Amino acid sequence: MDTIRFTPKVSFDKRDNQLRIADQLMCLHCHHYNAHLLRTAEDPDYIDGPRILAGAAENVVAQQLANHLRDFPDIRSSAQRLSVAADMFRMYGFVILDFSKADEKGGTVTSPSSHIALGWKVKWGPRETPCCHFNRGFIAGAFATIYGKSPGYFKVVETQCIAVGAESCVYKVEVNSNGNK
Amino acid sequence: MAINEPAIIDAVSSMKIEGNEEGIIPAFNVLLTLMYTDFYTRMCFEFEREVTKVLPEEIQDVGKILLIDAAVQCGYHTFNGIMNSVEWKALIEPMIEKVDDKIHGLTAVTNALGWGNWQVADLVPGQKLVLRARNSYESENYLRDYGRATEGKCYMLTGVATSFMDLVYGKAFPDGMNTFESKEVKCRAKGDPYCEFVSVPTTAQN
Repeated sequence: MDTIRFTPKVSFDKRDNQLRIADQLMCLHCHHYNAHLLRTAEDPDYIDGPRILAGAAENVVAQQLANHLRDFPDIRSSAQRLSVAADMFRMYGFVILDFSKADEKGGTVTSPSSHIALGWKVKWGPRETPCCHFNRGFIAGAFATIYGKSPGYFKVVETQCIAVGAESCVYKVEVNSNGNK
Repeated sequence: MAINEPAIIDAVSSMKIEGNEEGIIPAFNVLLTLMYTDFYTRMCFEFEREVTKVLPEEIQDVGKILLIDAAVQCGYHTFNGIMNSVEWKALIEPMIEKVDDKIHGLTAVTNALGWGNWQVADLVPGQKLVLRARNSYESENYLRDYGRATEGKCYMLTGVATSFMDLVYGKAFPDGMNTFESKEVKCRAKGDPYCEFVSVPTTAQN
């Protein structure tokens, strides 16, 4: 796969104290907040917290990657675009994603580490179920933009998770059965 | 006041904060992420909406309470890490002449995190803190996505205001959490010109 770095337009407005990257407002938060929000969303068993987390991530990632690719039209091939998405994930501190075994038909995405899983383990130790819902949304959103689909087209399931004791986080990517949007 | 806030904002916002080759941002004694404000607000307000749909009227505030609590927990641990970091010791500690200056130093740091423009409006040492936010991402995003609110929507900043007072005037870490509590008394999302947070000792509001 060609290696293409994510080199977005970045600005910090010192009057409003706002950080803008590829036309989206960004902010710094750490593993304490991300882990607590994860637990807050997952705790009530009467709502689908993981869906909320993944859905929110999918939409914002799809939009920002589309903004970036609009600004850099020379990044054309799917392989190049996947490389940019992986570097975006790295740059933002979410750790590492390996897209080499997935394409527009689906496949497997692997993460040798994960901010979300590590944050959980550091605070509360191992758990029984995968927890990288944000990463699932990130992958689904990136794939949607890269392959010209709408959010919701790809379904991403985390089949192994570091927080559960696996050596890496593994995500199965499929085209949603109702995903021809 | 000894704290030079513009210098702190300049220094922190100029730091190259991005993932290393392993995709990790270790800074201020925590693992940072560069995160989408839209992710946080869509997640939090959707969570609150879903919880509110299911719960009976008398406990409709549960979603809000949980989100504020997450922010208190976050702020308490995160800003304790920040105040013990090499960055704090090098940049901010030399400016601190008295304990109250820590509140101003913490506020300056938050102003470099992309959370909006935050100012200390009033500080009665150990008793009361009034913080104002001119453009919090929570209120701005709520207005954009849901329209006018009937109550304050800046749950993260409400919790963080509590954590500032807990860390500066509460018992030593980790025994001081929730010594104070905060209310958002004004919010841009409900039409106020700015968001305002008042923190007082927990017993004072009971």
